[in-house]
Amino acid sequence: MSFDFQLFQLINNLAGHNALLDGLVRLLVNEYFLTTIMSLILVIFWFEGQDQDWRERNQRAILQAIIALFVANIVLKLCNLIYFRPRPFVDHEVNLLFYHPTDSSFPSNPATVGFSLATAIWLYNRRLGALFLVLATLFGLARIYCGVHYPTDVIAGALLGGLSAYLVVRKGGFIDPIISLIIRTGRRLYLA
Amino acid sequence: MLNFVSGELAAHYFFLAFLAILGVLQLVAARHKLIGLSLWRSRNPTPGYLLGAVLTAGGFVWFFATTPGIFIPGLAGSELAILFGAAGICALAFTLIASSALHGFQRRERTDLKADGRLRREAVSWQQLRGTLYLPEGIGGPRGAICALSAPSEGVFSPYPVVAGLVEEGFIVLAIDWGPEKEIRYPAMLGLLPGAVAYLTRRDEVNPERIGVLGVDLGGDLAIRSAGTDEQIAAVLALAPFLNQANTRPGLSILKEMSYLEALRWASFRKRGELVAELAAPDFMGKLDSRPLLLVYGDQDGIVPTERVRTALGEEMARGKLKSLPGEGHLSLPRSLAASALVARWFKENLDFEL
Repeated sequence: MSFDFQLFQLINNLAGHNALLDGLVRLLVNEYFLTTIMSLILVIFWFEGQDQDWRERNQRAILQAIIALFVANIVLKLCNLIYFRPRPFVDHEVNLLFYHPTDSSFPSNPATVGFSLATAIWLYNRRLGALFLVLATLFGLARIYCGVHYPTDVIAGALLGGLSAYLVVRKGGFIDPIISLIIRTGRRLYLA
Repeated sequence: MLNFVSGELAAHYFFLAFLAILGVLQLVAARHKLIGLSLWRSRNPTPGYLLGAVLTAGGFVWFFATTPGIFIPGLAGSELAILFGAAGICALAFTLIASSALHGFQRRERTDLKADGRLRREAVSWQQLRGTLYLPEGIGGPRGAICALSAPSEGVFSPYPVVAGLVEEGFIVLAIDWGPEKEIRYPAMLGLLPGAVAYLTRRDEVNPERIGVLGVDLGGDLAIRSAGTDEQIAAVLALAPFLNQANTRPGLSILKEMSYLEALRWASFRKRGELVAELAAPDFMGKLDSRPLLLVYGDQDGIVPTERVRTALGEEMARGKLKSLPGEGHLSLPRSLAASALVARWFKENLDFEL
């Protein structure tokens, strides 16, 4: 039995014993809750800052996070075209607290989304980035707990998201003019 | 390809995002005192925090309590992003319009209340000069006089308590009318204050050696510039002058001062930045020699932050010449009683005026 599956079982076997915990994880695992919370935090972060320079830094971080998310999703779609991994419930008896997704298990889409946002924000703001990393980790763990991802799917998604964000923030100088243009336009409209 | 799976689910998610973003915008407005985003009237942020929390939490509770099919295959990332973005645009547009309606009415009410009729006034129309002369009761000998120039968007600034404060201290105040904004031009504007000074020196009630100028906003820039070239001006006080073209592009912080529609109207005076650059007020500060100068800003100024002015002027220049009034913004400063008292006291001290 692979280490991946052993770890999966360790987490997934926690499901079905405590209704409260199951309910909490079902809240975290669906597509609507954590993604909306993260997006709302980004809305707040857009307006944060005592002066224009501070705000611009935050707005730059948000725009880069969105671009990182976009890049990570393109790579993820390409991965899905090349390699299809069945979900854990297809090959194994699992505690399934979620519906049966039909797309590839590898890499985890929620982990990719969460970690691309979290890493991009973390590279600008450690405190908020740490909060996002916690949320992204919870998102990934919840998917394993509910039986729809293997741990390696989540780790691969986290690496893909993190790497995309790192490349966009640290090596993506060529997108700076676009980001500056968006911020300048926002400022002209009194929204940045 | 986009696939929204279920129209009901998509509509529910859109409404969740709309309510939650509306709530978050209220939290932001409360935290940063952005009246241009606030959907409540009081200056106290507590209603904003409450409204924001209720809308955001209420949105989530409603969505998870009433939406069928959350745990069946539903919206994917792209669809969620599109719905969230569309809801964000709608929530922002709703907030900006509703807040503009709310605060626009409020500002009109406030202005009407301030326009009292206690002051003795004369309309002035002399050569190119248009304005209103405010006179204290029972003038004895010649008195000190102040030429007052408001922000161009305010027209002639008779409603300001600052004028009433000066007149109550015994000054004669000539409030100059800029005329229509679109007709304000450089260098023609440079004739405004010398014309006003010339008019005042012709009046028997005015002591020509005790003429000061008070300028607000762009009027402050013009006051400094004119004093730099006209030695008849004995003292200059500028309330929230721009000093630098960059300060005429405040971005989001302008919503601390006014509603969004007012901000768009403010922006429609496109020449403002150019005029500030041409007036180059900081270059003329040095030409005042020993004549007193004071720059006053509100510490909540959302258009020209005091700290930026302090940095631009340098600590030495700023010392004694720059004052910050707590709790006041760019627009509220000339209407505030604290500024009114400060202006009257400062002119009394610096024009050596004996009642």
